[in-house]
Amino acid sequence: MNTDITALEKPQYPVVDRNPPFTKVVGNFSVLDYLRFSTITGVSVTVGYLSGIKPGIKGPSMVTGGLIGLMGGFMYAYQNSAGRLMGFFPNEGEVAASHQKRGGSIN
Amino acid sequence: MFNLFLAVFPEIFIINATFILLIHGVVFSTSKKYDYPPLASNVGWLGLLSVLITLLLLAAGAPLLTIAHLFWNNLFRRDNFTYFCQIFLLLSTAGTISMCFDFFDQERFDAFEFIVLILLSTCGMLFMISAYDLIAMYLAIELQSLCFYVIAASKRKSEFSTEAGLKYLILGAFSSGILLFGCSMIYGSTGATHFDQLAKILTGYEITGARSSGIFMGILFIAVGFLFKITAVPFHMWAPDIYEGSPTPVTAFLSIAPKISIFANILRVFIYGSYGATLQQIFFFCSIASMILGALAAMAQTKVKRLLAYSSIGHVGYICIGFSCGTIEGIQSLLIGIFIYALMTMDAFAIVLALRQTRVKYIADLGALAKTNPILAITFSITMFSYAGIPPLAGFCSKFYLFFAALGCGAYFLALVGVVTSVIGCFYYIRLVKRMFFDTPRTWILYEPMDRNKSLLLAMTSFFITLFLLYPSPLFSVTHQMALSLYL
Repeated sequence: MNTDITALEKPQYPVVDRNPPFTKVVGNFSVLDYLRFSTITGVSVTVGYLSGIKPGIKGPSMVTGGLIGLMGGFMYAYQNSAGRLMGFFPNEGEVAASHQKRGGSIN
Repeated sequence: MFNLFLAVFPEIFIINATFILLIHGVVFSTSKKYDYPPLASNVGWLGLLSVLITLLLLAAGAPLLTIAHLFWNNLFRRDNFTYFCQIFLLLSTAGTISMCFDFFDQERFDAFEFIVLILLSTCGMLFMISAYDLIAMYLAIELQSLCFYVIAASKRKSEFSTEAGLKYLILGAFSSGILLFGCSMIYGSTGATHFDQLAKILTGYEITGARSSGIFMGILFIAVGFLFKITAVPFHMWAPDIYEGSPTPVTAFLSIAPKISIFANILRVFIYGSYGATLQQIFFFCSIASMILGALAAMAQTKVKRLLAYSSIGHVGYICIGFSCGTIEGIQSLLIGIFIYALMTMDAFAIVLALRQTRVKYIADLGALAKTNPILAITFSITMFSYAGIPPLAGFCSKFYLFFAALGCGAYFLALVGVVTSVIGCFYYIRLVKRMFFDTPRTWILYEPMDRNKSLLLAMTSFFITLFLLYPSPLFSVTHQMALSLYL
């Protein structure tokens, strides 16, 4: 199996971690990521609720919408966080944190 | 390791969303507590939401999706071509699902599985577009096709729908078999299924004298399999009956989405893998035959859906002009053609669905639509003029670039046939306009206002069709990038 993580396009921003582990990416979620996560989940719950009114299954439909939204929101947030760590999205915060960590570890 | 999956986040999401919706549908549609509710609309809205989230994951994660751009034994490839084709496919799917809600209410259509199957077939088409190996391509084609066989027969109380589903199953399975046979012959002759390897082996094989009957027959069979699926002449026989018999939203989806994915496949397999004189001649012939048959056969039609089916066959002929050229301009014009064709078809079927509420089935039933619903009549007229290729609408632009590409590569006869058949096609498109504005119907039909989803969709597509010529450069630059990424 080809496990080469190299992308077709070169990263445009400084690479903090070329292949960050799952826990690091989730730990790197910013406020904006959580906002995206919650917005997508909220919209999905609303769509589920509104579409469930007519057939009379508001609650279950809300839960189903919530599940879809949770999954989609998490994936979207993960995608953005991983992209910042890998250097594909603007990542001043991650670069600064990385420099600080390296400076702290040297000291 | 987990980051390898970043490249397929859209596909993973849509598959999981489909399973969640399937479980939701199965559990609650059979629930005595909730009095066995009809869930088609509910699952439809959640399905539309899923498609839009998939689109968000795809669009927002563009550079990330090229990670491990050849992954899982090099079965899939993510590049600009894949990216824009998938975005376009998801937009078409979202548009088609949004047309369905009123249909569910009007026809008392209770099958939530309809939406689940559309999402599954969309997932298959997403894989088809990124497939970079004959086996991956075939599996993705089957995932897409099997779902379509079922939804074509989804209107269980209609014998026409059952007939359409059965015909589609038999002919679709037959064409898939031919395609697979071609793939096996290529593998048998070359030992390769990956497009990169095939490109190295097959490029110029006719010139170098390394011609093998196995390779030749393999390419021929694969081409025939694909031509069946895009309803190109002479493999078009199934299309009018299936388009007419299937429920109208299925016909809309069938006319739009598979054509995007199968043309994307054709470009990957043939432009990248094995373009040569033989293939060019096959597509040259099929293009001319499709344009001629599409123009002549549609003239005799009395039913709206059958007319749109033959129109679709004719447009496939025009789009195949771009492929026959084999140049970057040809591929670019093909992509422009597909995009504009998809929008026009969405527009046309949204109007057909709106008219269906009042049981409009025959062209004669359109009489005096301009008096009872003038806005709808004007929108339909704009769509028909665009189909006919009349400037300054989008349809004219797409035909212009296709014919220009043909002239640029020296295919003068192809361009001439295209122009002549466009003129012939004007007859039946403008006949519809004449029917709406100047004819009196046998029985007056009161038209009900259409629902908001369809009216929004119609507004957006009509806006694009009407004003495309004012600012075409975004589409041109996108399609140019897509064509370049195929050649580089």
